Amino acid sequence: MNGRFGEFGGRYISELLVPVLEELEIAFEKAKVDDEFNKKLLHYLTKYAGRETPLYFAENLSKKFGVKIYLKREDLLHTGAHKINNTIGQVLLAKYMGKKRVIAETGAGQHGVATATAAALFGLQCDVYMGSEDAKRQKLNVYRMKILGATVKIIDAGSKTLKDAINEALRDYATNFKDTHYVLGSALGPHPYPSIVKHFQSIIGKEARKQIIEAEGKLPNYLVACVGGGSNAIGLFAPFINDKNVKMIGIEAGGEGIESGKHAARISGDGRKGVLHGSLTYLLQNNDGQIKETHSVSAGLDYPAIGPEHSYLHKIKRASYVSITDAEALEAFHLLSKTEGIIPALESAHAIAYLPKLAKQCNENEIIIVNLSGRGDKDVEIVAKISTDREFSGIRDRQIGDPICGPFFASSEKLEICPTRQTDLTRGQTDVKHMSELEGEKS
Amino acid sequence: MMFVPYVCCGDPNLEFSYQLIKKLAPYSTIIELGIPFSDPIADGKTIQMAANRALKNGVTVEKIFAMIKLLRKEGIKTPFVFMTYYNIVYSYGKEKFLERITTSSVQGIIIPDLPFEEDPEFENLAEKHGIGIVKLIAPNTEEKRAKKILTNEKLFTYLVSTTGTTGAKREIGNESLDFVKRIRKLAGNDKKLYVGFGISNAAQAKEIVNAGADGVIIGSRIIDIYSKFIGTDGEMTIGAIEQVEKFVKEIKGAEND
Repeated sequence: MNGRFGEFGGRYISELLVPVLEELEIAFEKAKVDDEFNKKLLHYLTKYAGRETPLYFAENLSKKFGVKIYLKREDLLHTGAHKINNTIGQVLLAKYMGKKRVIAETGAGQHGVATATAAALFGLQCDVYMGSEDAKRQKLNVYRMKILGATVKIIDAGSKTLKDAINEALRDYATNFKDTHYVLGSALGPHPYPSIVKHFQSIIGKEARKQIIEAEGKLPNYLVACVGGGSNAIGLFAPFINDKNVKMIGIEAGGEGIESGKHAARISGDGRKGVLHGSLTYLLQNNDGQIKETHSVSAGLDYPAIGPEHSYLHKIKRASYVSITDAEALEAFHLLSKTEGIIPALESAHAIAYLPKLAKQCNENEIIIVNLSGRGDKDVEIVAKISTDREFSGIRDRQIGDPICGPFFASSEKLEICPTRQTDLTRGQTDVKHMSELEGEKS
Repeated sequence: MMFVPYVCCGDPNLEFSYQLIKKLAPYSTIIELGIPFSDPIADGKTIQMAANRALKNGVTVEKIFAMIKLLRKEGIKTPFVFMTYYNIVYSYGKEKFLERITTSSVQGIIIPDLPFEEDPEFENLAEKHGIGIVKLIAPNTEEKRAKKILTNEKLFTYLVSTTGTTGAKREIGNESLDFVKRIRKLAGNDKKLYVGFGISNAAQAKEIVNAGADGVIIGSRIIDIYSKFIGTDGEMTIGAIEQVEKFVKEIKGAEND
């Protein structure tokens, strides 16, 4: 069967899209080995987007956790996240296919911005679908897309997040495929999308592999990346898949804790196999096969299905998947900002948050590469809001680590409480239990 | 003219669907029973909203089976085919679902996100259980593939009249009519070609049949008619079924005009 990773993946899609995806697959396979295409792609990735990105040895973080931590700085790319690797590739491909228009879905807004950017660069019309809930929490990115000349189509259906934006983008694609290419932003969806996105994102892992050998003379022990659909993770993992000693860990959104039911942990939570958006993969669904609503503080991880290749890597035990709660991610957001002077995207903060747990199993000479998939500028407003809300709601014990310690621009006196946070990082569980107890009382 | 209505089971509640199916049965060649899915990517606004209402009101696969049992018990003999998305079947268990269909005297299933040959195992299982998988042909389906789909026809072949999603459209374009003619030529006269996606009135139905189709599949338009009768409390008000019946009579009368 075509386009499968073991039993996962496939092309579960309406008959209308069958010839369209076949055409796309042929165009992609051709472009992949086309010298001119690859030369152009490399040109824009280096001169325009800012590749290669540094593999930064995070000194302070390493010292703190007693292990060698390297950060793959995708956050330094143009538009602020790894998403641009894929959009430059796909929009260039769309141009090669003679398409006049591109569409995209977006959760956190990063993929929407990256698509709008590439569309502006290559002179294509661009429409971006975004759930109204996401548009609310990522307002800044909505403006950025508009400034770049894209039309943002706000979707008010279903859970009003990424899932619903993809539904609508697929409907648009099935209607307008003649002149339109759908730039899917993650390693999910029907074949050939998971392979296309992996191909364009693999540059992350290729560079990291070369860079770590230069820096350390050997391969890393661990790779850590957050997983919504899983594009930044598969981009980092792919070039290491045959290096059996390199352990790969994907971090899913634990939301308010698995037991609260408010999360997006498909593999590490209570997902089971099913079909959504063209792929057979692990899904969050109820007993009747209806897709569940998910929750994560980070819009980019707030999605009920995981990319099919991750399901496969999990099944064959090549990669493992764990979850990190909202509270833990928020702490890591502040931790990285304070210790390294890098404000991470809330998505990437999930990967950072796993470090204290992982470091416990490591000796000081072991090497961890974390994919810092995006920068946190887009999240500053939401983090400020959460901190303020919590300050006033009074349900949280400040000792557990309300990271900002009050309204965002709080007095310096309040900010001084923050050093205690460092020990709090491993205590997210306490917080979760507390939250789920509250939930239990309600129901 | 063969007439295949689509009923979104449980919209706005199962009691209404039950009454609607009973009313539609005498006019229908086959009735498509929609099992609502949370993420219906092949459907336009009308069916999306209908599925939402049904799910909100707690419809489940088991409740739909119970409704069918009741309809059969009351002597409704019209063939039924399910229309649902693949995750509903997958989640239930492929073989378990097929077994359940067989014992419920449902004749077939249409799965818009399971294209022909995507899951050969499921196709073989359906064959084994005597369940027909109704396959779709779209205007852009390649001729070679269309031929193969027609050769494997079970119950009938569903022609997707236009690109896009389901939902009533004002006009049936020449492209759609040409498509029907083209497939009829390819199929010969012994294949059953029913056309769906966008057909909303008697004139369109007539055009489609004149172009060579055996019949029409109508869903969104029926929902548009009865959903006007859904009260603010979510319950049906009086008169919806009569309006649907009036519409169906028009469609059925079209060929005699």
